[in-house]
Amino acid sequence: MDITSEYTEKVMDHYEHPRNVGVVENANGVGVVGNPACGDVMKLTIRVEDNRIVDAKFKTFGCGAAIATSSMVTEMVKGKTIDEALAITNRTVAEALGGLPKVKMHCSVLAEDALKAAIDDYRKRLAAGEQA
Amino acid sequence: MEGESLILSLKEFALSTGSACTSASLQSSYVLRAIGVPESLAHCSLRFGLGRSNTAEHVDLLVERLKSSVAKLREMSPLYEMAKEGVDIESISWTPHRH
Repeated sequence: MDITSEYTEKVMDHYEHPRNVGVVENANGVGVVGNPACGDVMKLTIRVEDNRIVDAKFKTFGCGAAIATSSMVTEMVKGKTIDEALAITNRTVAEALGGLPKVKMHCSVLAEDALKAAIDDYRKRLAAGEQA
Repeated sequence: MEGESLILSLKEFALSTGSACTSASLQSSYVLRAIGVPESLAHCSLRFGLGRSNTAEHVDLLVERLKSSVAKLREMSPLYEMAKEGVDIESISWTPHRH
């Protein structure tokens, strides 16, 4: 059974033309989640200024759905405040892509986890008194 | 790079992968695991299907297309970035399995 035939046009668009690939220069929040043994690892770097995410980039090792959700989440968080970004869930990312095949929903969890990890890292750095 | 993401850009070729991500079960290939391939590598496996109607030109075309797809996916991979920096991927304590 070929699951990839169930990908929406939006998923294929983000897979073929991923947005914001790379690493943010002067990032002040980094989240790395996943496991190579599971077939997906995502690294999200963000730049936060005045409590707002001004830049976000990703690098992802994973299937088409993992790449598409990574790309979509970077688009969704840009310009959002920390609190607004924390309201993003794997479901809202999947919905923004027009949905995902049922067995691929776990890929969108990777995007949510990476976002939470990056924000967590930012807050830890802030608490440690690192200059933003 | 992960198998599914690679064959997704090469749909006109008869390719398949042992990656869990292409199967409904989300398990990587039991055949590859049985011959001792670690799970992390099983996700990156590729199987080429060739028939008597295929020509050397078809293979050349596939190699060209594979090269550009692999380059693009490597550029996108955090694991490739780590490998280039000399980080031993096996030494990292990854998030436990979720599925």
